[in-house]
Amino acid sequence: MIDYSVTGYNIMLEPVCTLDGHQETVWCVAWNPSGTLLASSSSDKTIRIWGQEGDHWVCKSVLMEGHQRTIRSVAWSPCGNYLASASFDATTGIWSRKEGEFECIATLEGHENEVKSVAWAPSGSLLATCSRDKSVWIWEVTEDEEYECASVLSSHTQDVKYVTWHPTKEMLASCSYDDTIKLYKEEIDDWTCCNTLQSHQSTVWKVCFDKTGSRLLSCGDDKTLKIWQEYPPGNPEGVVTVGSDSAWKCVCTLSGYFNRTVYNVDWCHTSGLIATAGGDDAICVFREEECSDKNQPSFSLVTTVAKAHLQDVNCVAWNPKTPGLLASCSDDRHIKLWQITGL
Amino acid sequence: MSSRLDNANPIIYQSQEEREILPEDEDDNIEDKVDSREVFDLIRCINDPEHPLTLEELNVVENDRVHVNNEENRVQVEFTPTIPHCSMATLIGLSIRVKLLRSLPSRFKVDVVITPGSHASEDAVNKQLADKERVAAALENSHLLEVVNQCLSKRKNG
Amino acid sequence: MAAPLFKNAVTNFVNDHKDSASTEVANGILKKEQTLLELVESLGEYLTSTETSTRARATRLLADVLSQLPFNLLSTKEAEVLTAFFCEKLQDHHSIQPPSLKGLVYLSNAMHLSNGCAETICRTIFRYVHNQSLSQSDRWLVYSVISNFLHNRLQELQSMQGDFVYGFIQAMDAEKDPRNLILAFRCARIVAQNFPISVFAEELFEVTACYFPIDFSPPPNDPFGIKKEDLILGLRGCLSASPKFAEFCLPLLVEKLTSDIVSAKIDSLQTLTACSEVYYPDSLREFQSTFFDCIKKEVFYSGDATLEAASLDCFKALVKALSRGISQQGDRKSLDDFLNEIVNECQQHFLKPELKMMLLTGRLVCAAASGSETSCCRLVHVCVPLLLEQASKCTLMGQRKNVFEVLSWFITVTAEFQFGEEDPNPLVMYKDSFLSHYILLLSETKPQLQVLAATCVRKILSLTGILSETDIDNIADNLFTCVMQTTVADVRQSCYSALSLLSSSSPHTVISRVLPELVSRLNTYPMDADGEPDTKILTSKAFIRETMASIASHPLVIEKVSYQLISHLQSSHSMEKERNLEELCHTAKCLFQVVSTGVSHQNLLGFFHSNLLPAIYDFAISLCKEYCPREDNIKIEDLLSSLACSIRAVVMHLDKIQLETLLNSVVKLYLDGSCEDMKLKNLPQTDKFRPLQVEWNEYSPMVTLLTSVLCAVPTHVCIPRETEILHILTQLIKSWCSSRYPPTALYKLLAGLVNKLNNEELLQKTLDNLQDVLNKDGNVERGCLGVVCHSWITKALVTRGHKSGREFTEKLIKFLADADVGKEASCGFEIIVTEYDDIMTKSLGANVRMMYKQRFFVENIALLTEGFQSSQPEVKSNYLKAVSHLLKGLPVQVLMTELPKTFPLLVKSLLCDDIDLQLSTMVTFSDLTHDAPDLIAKNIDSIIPQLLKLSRYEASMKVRIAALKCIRGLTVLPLHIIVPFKASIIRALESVLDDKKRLVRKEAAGARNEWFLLETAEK
Repeated sequence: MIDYSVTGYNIMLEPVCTLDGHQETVWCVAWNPSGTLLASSSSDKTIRIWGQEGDHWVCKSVLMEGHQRTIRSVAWSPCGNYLASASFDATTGIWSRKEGEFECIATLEGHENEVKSVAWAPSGSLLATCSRDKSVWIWEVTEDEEYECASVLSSHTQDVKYVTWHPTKEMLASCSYDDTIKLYKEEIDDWTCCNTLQSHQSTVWKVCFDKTGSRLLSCGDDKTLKIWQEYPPGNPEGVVTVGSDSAWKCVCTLSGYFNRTVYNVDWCHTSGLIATAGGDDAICVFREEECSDKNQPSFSLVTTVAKAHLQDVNCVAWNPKTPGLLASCSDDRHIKLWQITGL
Repeated sequence: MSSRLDNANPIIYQSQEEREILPEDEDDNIEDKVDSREVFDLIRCINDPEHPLTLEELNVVENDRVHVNNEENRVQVEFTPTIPHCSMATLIGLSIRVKLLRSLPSRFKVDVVITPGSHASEDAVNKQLADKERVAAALENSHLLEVVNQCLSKRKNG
Repeated sequence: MAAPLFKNAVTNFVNDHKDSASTEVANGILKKEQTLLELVESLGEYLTSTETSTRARATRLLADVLSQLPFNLLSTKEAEVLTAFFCEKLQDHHSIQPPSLKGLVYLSNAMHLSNGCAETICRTIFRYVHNQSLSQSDRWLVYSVISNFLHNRLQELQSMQGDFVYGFIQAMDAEKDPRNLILAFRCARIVAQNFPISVFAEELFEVTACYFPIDFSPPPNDPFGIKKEDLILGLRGCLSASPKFAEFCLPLLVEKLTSDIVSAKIDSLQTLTACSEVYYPDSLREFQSTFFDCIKKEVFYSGDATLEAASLDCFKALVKALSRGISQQGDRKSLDDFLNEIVNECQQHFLKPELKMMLLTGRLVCAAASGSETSCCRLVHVCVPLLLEQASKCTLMGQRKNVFEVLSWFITVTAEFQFGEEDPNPLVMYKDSFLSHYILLLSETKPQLQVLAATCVRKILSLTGILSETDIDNIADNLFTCVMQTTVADVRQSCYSALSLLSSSSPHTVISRVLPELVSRLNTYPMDADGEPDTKILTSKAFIRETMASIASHPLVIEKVSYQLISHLQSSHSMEKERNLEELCHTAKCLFQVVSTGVSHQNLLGFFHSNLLPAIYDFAISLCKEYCPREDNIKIEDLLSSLACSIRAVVMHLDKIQLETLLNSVVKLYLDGSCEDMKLKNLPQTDKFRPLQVEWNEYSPMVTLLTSVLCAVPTHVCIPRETEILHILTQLIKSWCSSRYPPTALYKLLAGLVNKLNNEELLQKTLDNLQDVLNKDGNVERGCLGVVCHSWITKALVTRGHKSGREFTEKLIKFLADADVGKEASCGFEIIVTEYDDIMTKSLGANVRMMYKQRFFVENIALLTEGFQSSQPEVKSNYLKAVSHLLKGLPVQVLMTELPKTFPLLVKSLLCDDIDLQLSTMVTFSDLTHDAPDLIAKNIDSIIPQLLKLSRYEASMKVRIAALKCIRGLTVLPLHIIVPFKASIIRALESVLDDKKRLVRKEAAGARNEWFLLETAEK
């Protein structure tokens, strides 16, 4: 008897390779915009750059001596020539890539303690960082590669875990230990918080936009995934908005799939697949069901790798060019590459 | 000086005897499963940050409040601060967590929580202790690490 | 007139700066070729030279020459002249001061120094020498002069009164060098104790107290070896030198006591302790409350054991000082106030015995009580009733344990004083209450409480004049009941200990009340339903025997108990069969315990000699007759060894005449199979008893009981028919080799005799015979037993340092290469370096060459290393094992010098697939980590990977555990050596945390945590 009840699809997440090198927990993996390089950051205070040589993925360089403590996350600039690193040493590093070599060209200081996340705006002229000091900083990149603080946003009441930019607009999202997600935009001369999204019951670990930027995806300590839909002013659904700002509403909560914290989630901009990284050592992949209602979308689990890693999975990242190529990293010190098959 | 302590004169409890070594414990061919007593033995000798006493002597940790599921790789430890306003609760929880991080096989998922109803800031403390990022950052703070290590060191006076 | 030679030397020294010339001159004086005064004369022209440097050189020559002469050489006259000379030179140019001071140091030691010289010298130094502008070594000379005079001319200096004190203060002011301070502190103490310092008390105090608390950390590899502790003690000696310092010192101590630095607090407490013994009680009065607060704080809250101990000592000293106030100054109030303060603070804590403060308060109060008889009585009367009341009220185990714990401390405290008829021990009043509590506790179900009770009872028994005879009877009965009822070893041990004390002080109580009970229980065997003795009963029999052994502490009791035990041996063995052997063994062990206590009582030796020894032989004969034809020989040998222990213990204490009769009887018994003297009932008739017959027979195991006599007699006592014995034993080797059992007893006896043999001719003959026997038949030499025998004889020779040892050893090393017997040969090395208590020890009068193990190692390590390198792979481990055995017997110092050569072998041993070898190598490593950290540190690169590999050694958890212990042990090495390995070790141990065995996991977690804690400040 054929039974689709568990996955419904023959989609599989197949291991491609394991990348060894980091000496301690790997916190973050990030693809460069062309999808040829993968950057990873670790408690061993290094960043590693991985690339393909023939059929093999190898470590191309190790960036050391940039930080004194754990490097919590890394982010590529939209042009792919810069890499930013956020560290527990309270600084953000900017690395420039020239002829394949990386060089630390700037160290941004200002946060009082651990910097948790860093993100480049799509224009490449703005950078956002967030920290346990409860603040989100926006930095302006000047012509001569100087970084100046443009704004300090103190809307969160706790530790800010993650920041991310809207794929097209200059709009910023952050999520926090205070269980909320906040959205920011520039008004006249300064940045302000324009929206606070509440629904999670505990720390929100990660937030990300879909390809169009009209939806948000978040995950957290309450062991759920949430999908948020944008409702611009004058929307046909009649969702109330304030002024020129859109309203964001949680339209879907995926729960029951996870028995420990969901640390990370990534929304593939080529395939629309959602991958999650969890404290249960598993990676799950979800897909929106066809003919799902925009205002009440339904998502289904297409595949699970239960023991994807030996310990907590900290981060997952879809390759921006190769459809279905996924990178993951874990406390077990490994990075793994996976390929979706049977799509 | 006494005012510095939250609870200057706590009740002292009897420590358990050392675990008895059975013949099967010394038989190389038998596999010993991790059980609650084994985990309890790891944490009972942690020093209280304020008193020259162990967590066991203060009844902060008890064998019955250690739950282990060896097959499902789960360990849960409940600890009971000596008084509901104990300002050291987070530090004690952190010490327990760190001791287990260092001592248990990495396959285990460990939860360290306050015994329900025994502390005024139970939820806040539990949330902090469960946040692995904050635990990791705390252990890179040399001052805090030193304090935790003191709790985990053998006392000079045993 | 100076001889030309002398003149040359002087010129050489002064003009040509040839320092060695002074020795030439000094020798001349010693040989009386010249006199000192002649030297001074011949120096005249130089000493009056206008060149300062020439004058300095000449003065220096004189001082250098003096320093090489004995202190009694100078006549009074010469000393006077030289005193005047050097004092004058002190007033010359400043560069001449150092050599002058050196000359004065000699004079300060000179034996014939006329009165007045010391004073002149000191006055001149104080007046003309500005100590602070001299170099360190020259200042040292000044202190040396002062120090010498303080020791040998004290009276003369005392006549200088304040002048001396003032001069000294000026001289030592602002001293900074630790070497000089050590000397200056010693002087300051003598000055403070022996001079009228009143006017200068504050100055003298300040000039030393400015260093308090001592802050000094010697540089690494300090060649002067001055430790912080030396300075602390030196300064403490000054501060506590005179009661006149009290008014300055006590405020200073209060200030430092309240500081945050632990070492400063400890120093202050210990200094206060020292001062309390000297300062007048009334000077302490003003500060007593403050001190109490400080001490209380440290005891209650510091949690630091050293600090707590220092606080308690200090507290005791303060109480002692205040108590002195009663007798010295009639001041009772100070002590009363102080004790009241203590009582007020502490009473409350005794009412909550489950809380933390209970025991801390107990320690505090008992420290105060131990200060004086007065404080002891006062505090006992306040606290003990309170505690006894709590004892009746409390029900929780923890509470009761704490209460009785503190009560037991009070007993200990009262034992520190000699209470008499007039002022009896204050506990007398509470003794009934005490006893009823303890007796109740003894019948408790909680072993911890029972142990506590028995310990307390023992303490009370040790107090004099407290207990009545009825009390003692009562205690004896209850201890006895407790022992009979408990199954917990700790409880029994503590009861035994109490009974033992009771027996030594009240033997008649034990003989009349306890012993008869024990005997009657020992000799009745209730049967269970199947007619078999119940196993429970057998266990309780063992307890009965242990109890009997424990009460054997008084000669009267010892005699009775040993008699009972030996008759128990005889009777029970005839009653019971197979399973009974273990019981017999246990009885024999208890008998040995009794005998070893008994031999220290001279008046028991006669009884042992004429009654006990024959009884043992008699029993052994009947035992062999009955059991040996059957298979149980291992147990029989155990039993015989236990019996042999008793015999040996007695033999070692007998006098010459007793020994000779014993030797005659025993030799006759073993060689002729008869013995009239011993009156052995069980001896078989008509030549049936042949323990040394060529064919192994049922009596052969009794050779052990021959060893215990022959190998325990001192060398000056002749063994009758020794040649015959040696001949017979040698013959036995061959025939017994083929018997079922390894005749170690025979080898031991033979080796023991060879070791002691004084007659070189007989020794050589015996060795030749042995070689003959061992070599003649190819099989014997090749056979493992032959190698074992060879090893024992080698041991005998090596231990005494006999020249033939070389030949035997080389042969043993050769055996290592043999695939068949190599393993046995490697064990031979263990035999050689192991100490056995039945043969070849110093106390048994054996020939034991000093440091024979070291010599043996040093002489053979090269051969073994060479053998290892050149041997076939399959026998290599034999060499490693041999080395590993040798290392075990080696003291650290020897290891240190020899180890660099041996170390590569050790690392190879770790790789060797032999569990025993790996284990013993790891034990060596563990020891070395403590004893020779440098060596381990040097080789750490090669050790760590091996150990990590062994921590996952599949085949043996013992190996895994030992490896983890070693890894943990490495954390004691200097940080800079091990920190580089920290991350990799922590990572490597992660997988071991999931070992399948719990004991391994425990060790892994322990080791891993220790590595995490490396840089933690206070481990």
